[in-house]
Amino acid sequence: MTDMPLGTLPTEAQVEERAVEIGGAMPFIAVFKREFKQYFRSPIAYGVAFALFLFLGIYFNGFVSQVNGQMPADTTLIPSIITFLMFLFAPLLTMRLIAEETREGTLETLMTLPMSEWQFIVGKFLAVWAYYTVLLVISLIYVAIMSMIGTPDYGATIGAYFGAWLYGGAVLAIAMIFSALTEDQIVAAFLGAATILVLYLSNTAASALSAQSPVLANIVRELGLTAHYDATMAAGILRLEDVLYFVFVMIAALFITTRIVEIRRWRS
Amino acid sequence: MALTQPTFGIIGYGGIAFGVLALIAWILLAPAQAKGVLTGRTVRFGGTSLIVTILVIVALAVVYVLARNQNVRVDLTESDAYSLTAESREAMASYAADPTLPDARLLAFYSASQAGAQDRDSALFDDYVRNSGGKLSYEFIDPERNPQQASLYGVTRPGQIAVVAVDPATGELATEDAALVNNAIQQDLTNAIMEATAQGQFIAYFITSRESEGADMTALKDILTNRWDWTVVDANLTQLTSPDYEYPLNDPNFDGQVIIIPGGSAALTDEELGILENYLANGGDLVLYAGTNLNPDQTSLATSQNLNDYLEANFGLRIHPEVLLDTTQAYQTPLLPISTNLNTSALVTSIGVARGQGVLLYQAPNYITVAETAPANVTTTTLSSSSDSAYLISDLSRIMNAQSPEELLPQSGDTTGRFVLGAQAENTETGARIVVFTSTSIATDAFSVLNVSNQQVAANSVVWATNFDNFVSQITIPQQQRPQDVPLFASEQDLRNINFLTIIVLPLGILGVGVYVWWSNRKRGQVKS
Repeated sequence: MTDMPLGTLPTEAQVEERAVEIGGAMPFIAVFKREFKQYFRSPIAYGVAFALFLFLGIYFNGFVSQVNGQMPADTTLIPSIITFLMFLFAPLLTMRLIAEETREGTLETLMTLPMSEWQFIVGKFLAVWAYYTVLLVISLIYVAIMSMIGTPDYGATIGAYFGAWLYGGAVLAIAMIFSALTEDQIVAAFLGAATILVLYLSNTAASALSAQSPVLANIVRELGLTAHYDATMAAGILRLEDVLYFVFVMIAALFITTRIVEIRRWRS
Repeated sequence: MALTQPTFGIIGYGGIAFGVLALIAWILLAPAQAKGVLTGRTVRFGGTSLIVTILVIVALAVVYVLARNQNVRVDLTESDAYSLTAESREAMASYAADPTLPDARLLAFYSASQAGAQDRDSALFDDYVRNSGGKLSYEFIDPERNPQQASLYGVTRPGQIAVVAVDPATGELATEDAALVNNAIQQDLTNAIMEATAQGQFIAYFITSRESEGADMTALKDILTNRWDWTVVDANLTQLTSPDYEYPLNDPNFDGQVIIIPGGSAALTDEELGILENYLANGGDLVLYAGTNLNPDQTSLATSQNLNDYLEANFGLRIHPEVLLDTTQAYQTPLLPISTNLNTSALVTSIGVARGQGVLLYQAPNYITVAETAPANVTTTTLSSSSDSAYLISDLSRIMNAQSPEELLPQSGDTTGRFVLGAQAENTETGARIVVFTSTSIATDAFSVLNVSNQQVAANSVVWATNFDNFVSQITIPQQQRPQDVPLFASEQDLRNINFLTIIVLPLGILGVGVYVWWSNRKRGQVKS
């Protein structure tokens, strides 16, 4: 950026130039890069990955031993388990994202940069989603193992992994709301986990409600996460409504998060 | 708990009243502060934010509902688990193209807790509907909320699917011809659709006569009616030719008819024999089980002279009245000889009984002689024979008056050797087919529970006699097995390697990198400070 006398407002061209310095034409890329790198410097991210893969490893071994010689190779199992575990891991991955910035006061500084709150939130979200994507990619090792000892249905695998990717994006976006809502990371994690669990269990709630009100039961089911993943994407059926559900949940959650950050900024 | 109380109560209303009064008091006592709060920046921006957020969510919900109504879905599975395979598509195309086949409906009995399975399986059902040219439809029924409907179709657990043809005349579901499938497995569903809509009509007449044992053949009747959807009637031969009888012999509406003679102690009358002869001369089918002749008259329908003269002259088979016993290959008593000599290419082994493993248990059987030179256009085949140590007792009173097992042992003068216990014959000119077994034990319930092949052979005899297997093969669509259906296989070494890789290497590797990163950051921080 060209030097500028103190007390002089930057011109539009200068702001654009600064934006390019930060993240090119899309400033959220700068936030994304910063956060994404942060994950690989943070021991918590490695701890989360360790716990996830230890659990998956134990589960996978048990499954292979149990179905050995009896059932076909099912590669949709691992992404399904990951989606279930996300009620636990999504809040752990997102609790720090905004709550820490707010608590340490760095959010104010970041907001002085020439980018909107929306770009800031999207950058953060893409970083955590990218980290989650890395975990998913690593879990493909189980698919590779399955393909060595059997013949997996790769079409179903693609559906299940694509679904798990979208599912992860949606729950990470939901968990981010609570990171923006409170400065306390633990509170953010608990609230996020509770919300995701409620959405995960909505199918069960819908079953309980079906006798009293089938319409309400359907609405509850449609709002939940599992109705859009477990029976369809995890089985290899790709439905437009399921894809849109996850994309819209991401958009809505990020929108709400942005509003919360904006309100915080105005309040301050 | 207060939240679940049906009425709000005095505490609830009192609390609200107190809150409202407090709010009014605050506005009256500090109006400037109240105005500031209501028109302040936070509330204005916050309020706008809330409205905008709600609008965005509503807009997304509207788009979602519109997209949902489009019902756009893709089956990504390589095994076509949720879309029709080439075989099923071909079967549905032929079903759609045949105007004589009726419409059908899939009644999927899924409970409320199976909503996910409904979403999943409706993709497959939709594909059936699309490929059937509009002849198929489906609906989901909750068996827990409609137990009567579920029991009407024999549904015993949620997840079962009844395939029911629609009666073209009345437009109502032909409940009695429903085919039940346990899960939405494509092969089963396709075959059930073919079965429910197939026009095959088969009937079995169990002939009633003195001491006939049709009433003791419920297991066989159950197979015919419930598994194969046959009509089964008990009647005597003269009834079958009555003009008023509901199911007359040689009714052209039936694709297959078979007369089953389940034993009997008295010979057929001339009239009855005439009916049988006429039926067989016109290509009819007969399965004959010989009832025991160990009775005071020492007679049986199967060993009667008039019937056997006819059978020998027309089919080359004769059932003799001597009773066959076996001391070396029998079940508990020589009166229950076992046959392990089953024809490896005839119906007893070629339709379902594993070759070399089939065992037939007879009860005081007679024996059959097969003519060395069969009548013209007739092919005779031995189905089952005794062991070489079997022997014949012609003096039946010796068996009936025996006081100890020793009296049943072979004596000098008894004919010993291998004897035919079951045979089949076919007249290739008329199409008549007959199967003869020398004991009713092949088909009676008492022997169906033992670990022998009697029941299966009894059913197979009916299948062969009526050519039902040809009909079934027409409505059974074999599905190609795909590599994805083959179970995975891991050796002990594989399992150990998988264990090491997924429980040790992968998680601990990640943890190791994490520790390294943390250590590096720590050292970097120390250097900076």
